[in-house]
Formats: sequence, C-alpha cells, structure tokens
Amino acid sequence: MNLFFAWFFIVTGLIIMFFGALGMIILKDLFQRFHASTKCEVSGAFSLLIGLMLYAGELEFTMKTVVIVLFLIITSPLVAHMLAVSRTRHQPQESEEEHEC
Amino acid sequence: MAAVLGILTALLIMTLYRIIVGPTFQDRLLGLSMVSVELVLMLCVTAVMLEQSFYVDIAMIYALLSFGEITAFVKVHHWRKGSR
Repeated sequence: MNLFFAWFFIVTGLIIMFFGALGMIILKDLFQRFHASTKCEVSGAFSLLIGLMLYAGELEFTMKTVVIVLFLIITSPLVAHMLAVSRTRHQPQESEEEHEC
Repeated sequence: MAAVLGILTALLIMTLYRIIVGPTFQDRLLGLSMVSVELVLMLCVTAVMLEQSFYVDIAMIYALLSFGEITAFVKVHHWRKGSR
C-alpha cells in the first residue's frame, strides 16, 4: 500500500514536470513561460520528492528531502520574480524581440 | 527507478532547447533554473536507486548553488546595463 502511494506521487510528479517542459517549448512569451516553469518547479518537484520519501522510508533520507522541498518552494518563485523585475527594467532591443517558436 | 531517471533525462533535453534558442537573456535563465530543479530530482532518484545517502547532500548543495548562480547572473546583467 505504501509502495502504491509512492508510485502514484512519482507518476503525478513526472506528468506535471512533463507539462512544464512542454510549456517551456511551445509557449510564445516570457511571461507565459513563467507560468509553466514556476508551477512545474513547485508542484512537480514537491510531488515527486514526496513519492521518493514514501518509496525510501528512511528517516535520514526523509529529513534531507524535506529540507530540499522547503528550499525549492522558497527559491523558485523568488527566481521568477527576480527575472520578471529584470525584464521590466531592461526592455529588450527590437532585434532580440522576435518570438519564433 | 531507472525508467524515472530516463524520463527526467528526456525532460532535461526538452528544457535545454529553451536555453539554446531562447530569444533573450531572461529566457535562458528561466531554462537554467528549471534544468537545475530537474538535476536535483535526478540526484534524489539516484540516491533512492543506489541506496547511497550522500547523493541527497549533493542535491541540497546543488539547489543552493543554482539559486546563487542565477542571482549573480541577474546582478551582473544589471551592472552591464548600467543601472544599480
């Protein structure tokens, strides 16, 4: 039963990560790509790491993974906010602005 | 577990596309942050697969270093553009 929930969370995390990576390819604007990247980094990594915790079942691994999850939840929106501020301050030149996808 | 590792490698190659053809600097950094998250997940999967606990330590240090790396890139970009 534990193994069933472990694989459930791992497969859910992989599906969310897949749609995040797909969105990084096919979306056309930087601010649309923030949507794909941030959501996938937070929820996909969170779900996959919970699945790995249930699969391993050791206290040492679980505590270290909790630290990684907290760190990712803090820093991933921070990185996206930093890049958005950088984009709105320095608008790109006309030659860089072509969006071919 | 090896299948999970293979799928994560495929996702990493899909994200590397954005780093290579990204039109602007911020697109490349966004791809870099997502590649680092996928590498952290790959290190954790490797730790479970090989039952070696030190890979999780490497993943923690890598998550920390990638955040500092992206912050440093954005800061240097601000300096080169001449503000702050």
